[in-house]
Amino acid sequence: MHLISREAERKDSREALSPEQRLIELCKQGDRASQKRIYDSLAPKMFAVCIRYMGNRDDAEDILQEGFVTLFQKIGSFSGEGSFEGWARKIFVNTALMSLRRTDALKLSDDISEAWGVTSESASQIQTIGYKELMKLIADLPAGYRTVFNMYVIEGYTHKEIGDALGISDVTSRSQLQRARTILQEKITELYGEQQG
Amino acid sequence: MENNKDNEFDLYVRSIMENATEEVPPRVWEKCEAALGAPAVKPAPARLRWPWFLVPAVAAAVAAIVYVGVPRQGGSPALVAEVGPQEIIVDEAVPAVVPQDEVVPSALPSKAAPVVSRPAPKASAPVVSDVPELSSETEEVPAQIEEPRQAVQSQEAPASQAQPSSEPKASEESVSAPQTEDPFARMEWEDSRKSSGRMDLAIGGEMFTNNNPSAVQGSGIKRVASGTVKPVTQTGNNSVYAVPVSLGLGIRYAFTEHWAVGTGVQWSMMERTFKGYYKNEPYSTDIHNTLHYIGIPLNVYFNILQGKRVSLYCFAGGAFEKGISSNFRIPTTDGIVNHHEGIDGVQWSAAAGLGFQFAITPLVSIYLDPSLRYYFPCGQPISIRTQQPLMMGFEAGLRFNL
Repeated sequence: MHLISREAERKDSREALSPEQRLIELCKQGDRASQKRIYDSLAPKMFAVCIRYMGNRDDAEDILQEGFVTLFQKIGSFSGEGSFEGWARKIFVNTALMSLRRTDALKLSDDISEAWGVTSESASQIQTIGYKELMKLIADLPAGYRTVFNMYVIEGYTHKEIGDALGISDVTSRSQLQRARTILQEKITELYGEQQG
Repeated sequence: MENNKDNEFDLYVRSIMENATEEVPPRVWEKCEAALGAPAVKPAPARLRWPWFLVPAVAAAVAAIVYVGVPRQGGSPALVAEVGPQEIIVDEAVPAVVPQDEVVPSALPSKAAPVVSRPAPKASAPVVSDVPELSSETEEVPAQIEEPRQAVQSQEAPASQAQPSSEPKASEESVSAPQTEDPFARMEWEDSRKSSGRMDLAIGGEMFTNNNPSAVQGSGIKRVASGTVKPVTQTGNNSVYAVPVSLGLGIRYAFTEHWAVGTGVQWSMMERTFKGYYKNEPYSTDIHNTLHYIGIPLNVYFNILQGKRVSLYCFAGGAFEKGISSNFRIPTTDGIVNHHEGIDGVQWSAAAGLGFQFAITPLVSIYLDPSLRYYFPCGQPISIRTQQPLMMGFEAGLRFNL
């Protein structure tokens, strides 16, 4: 009983793009539904990143929200080279770092006097630790150690890149990393001992 | 310094933490939305087609002028103009009272009542100054004053014009028989008494204009709880809209000759096609959305012209509608999927228009009601109504005199 009126214009250029590229293009145009799709796909992973850096869920929520706002505002600058998730992850890491700098949490020193490497015991003990325990252990690290540990071990930054980002030397970055490993080792040993006991 | 154990330790931690996920509270997206502000898409402005917009306004103005401007006689409702040429018959038993200062309705400059001029009787040239003044209740009417009334004659009665000498005599005879009231006023009053209290049953359908607006506000798809995947997501801003249609059953009650009120129940259907995704489907596809509404209209009618078979009227009112179904027909890799959603809230609208009715039999008439309708923004799903709230409608159907 209905009549179909003349067809609306089609944007055929979008047909050649992949679904992810199409979503990104729509986000660049400010399409809220596309932004929500990207948010739904990235938010769980990025929230874990934020918790690792901030050390608690409340601060991590703020960083997550701030990070997504920045992401959607800067999505126009995404060139398409490389992984979109990797590009997004950098935004969240930078957002977390800016927040930590604002609160002066990144108090780093060059003291490496008590740093030592991971022993064989702790290396095997960590195999027994699950994600939640490990996340808690990392979150409980002091902010400076936690930041360097996250950036080097999990994000894969080099010490030079960490030094440039945090305004410290390579040596300081290495020492902070060793301190982080040491503390984690102690915590793992304690946790392993409790589990065995 | 770093050693192999460190590397093993780092690799293990990385393997666990790199792709870890955490449950995100819904409030985070709400804060993001608030920070991002309103969507970039701007609503399409309602387009006014001014000729159509003026039609009901002109009809209402004409109706008001006719209703207010037409003088009333003896307390009866305003007389309606007869369609077609008139034939004035003077009832000798009932004297006709024609006050000097009152305009006879039939002598109004109306196309429906052609004025046929005839030569004035030579025997007595009408001189107004020679005629004694008459009040509105005077029964006797001098011959000179009878002339304006007798000047309005049917074109089908040339015989009366061929005998001008007999005209004055007839007018004298009519004058000699005094009339206490206007016979037409009495007849029209009786007609009005018949017209009032009449109820009609109407069955009709309506179609609306569709200018195919291109911009879309939002996605038009029901919101789901934050953190869950929306079943249907629209991509882009373009939709193709079908012409909306309505079917209804109504009753109309005329409580005076001119005024009536009508209500009923109507079903409306709107369709549109857009590109979008269904759940986790990797590719967008053409999704067909159909909306069904049930509504109750309420209109006030004013009879402008009433003939034996034809009537012209205008009306104004509104409707209250409730969406009962929003169905999405989605082609997927697994076949056609039908996704149903409810529709929250109600849709209010206002309308005004003209109506034309033709009586096939005394009991059955056909009618055509072109109108202008405006749909108020009520938070309803995307449809032609939200994108083009001002629409021209064409309703046609049958009316049964109960």
